[in-house]
Amino acid sequence: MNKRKLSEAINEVFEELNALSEDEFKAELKKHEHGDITRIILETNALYACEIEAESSYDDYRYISYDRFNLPVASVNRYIALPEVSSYIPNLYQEVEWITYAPAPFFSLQEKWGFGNIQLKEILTDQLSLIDKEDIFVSSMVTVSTNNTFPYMQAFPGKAILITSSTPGNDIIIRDEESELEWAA
Amino acid sequence: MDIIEGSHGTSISRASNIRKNGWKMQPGMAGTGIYFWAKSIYYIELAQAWYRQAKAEERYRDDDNIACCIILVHIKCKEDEMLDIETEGVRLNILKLAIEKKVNVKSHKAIAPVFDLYVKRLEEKAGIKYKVLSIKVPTPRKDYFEVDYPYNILGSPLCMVVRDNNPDDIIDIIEARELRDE
Repeated sequence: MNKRKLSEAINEVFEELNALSEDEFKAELKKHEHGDITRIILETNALYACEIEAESSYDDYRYISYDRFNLPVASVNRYIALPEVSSYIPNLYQEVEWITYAPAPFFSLQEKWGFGNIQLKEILTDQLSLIDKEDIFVSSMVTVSTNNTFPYMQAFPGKAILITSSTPGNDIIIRDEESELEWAA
Repeated sequence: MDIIEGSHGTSISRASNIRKNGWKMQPGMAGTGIYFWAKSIYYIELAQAWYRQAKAEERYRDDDNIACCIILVHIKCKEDEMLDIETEGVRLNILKLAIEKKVNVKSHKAIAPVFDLYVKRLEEKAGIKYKVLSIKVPTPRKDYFEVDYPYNILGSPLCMVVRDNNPDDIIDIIEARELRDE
């Protein structure tokens, strides 16, 4: 298939898929959730645009889009207790998956400017559209031990940011086993 | 036949095994292909960074020699066996579809299957399976990639994913370079 034919085929596929109803399209997507291209796209982080070296003040930072940060390729479970969290907040499953990649930019920016929990709360609500700002409380950096009463913490000991919510069951943990950063309260 | 040059970072043990037994589709990253950085002035450093990351994730823990080896390859592929996701308007069409069909564009997990659906439909139409996918991906984390990469000029580096079930047919190792990596 030469370039011109490929270009035509690409547009034809678009037209065909676009002609599907929303439900039909989503049914098709369901069949491709575990496809090899899906895995390649997720595994290579091909959906992340690029690395941004943020060299501005916090005031500037607030308007930097989340998608522009450098995001780690490392495995999800090193950063967030995903299965446990998602079982606690099934209605936020999508958002939780999305923020699994958040710690690196958060940590690096915090290291740079030392912003604290209030700012992180704003970032979480503004940038991630996670949950209502008043519904989030970000704790200090905590060292989670296996003696902790929270079962999901017991499963994932190590340093973590604990984000708790006033809504029961909406707790979120973001972990970073490698970070030596002090959390600015 | 096009020749694409690429780099792949791995342990010396695995590089020896590749030289001896050839490439095998194995669960290196997603178990879906063999990943190479397309030739550029940074492709050695990028391969080394992927090696470092894999090492940090203890993927080489069972290897006899976990020191770094960069393998340089020639990927042989006919023009119509490779799909360049970056230059054929695929991403733009996927965005339009996602918006039109109300797929959560902020969710990578929701968007990735749209790529899968799109490419598979394209393959059906073309009557082939693309052996190589060319796709831009971000550089590895700074912990592993020490280069001051000029994103403003180059954009994200290009990754080649070889999907062929028999990669022996399409890959020649042209050099395996052992690197010191503390």
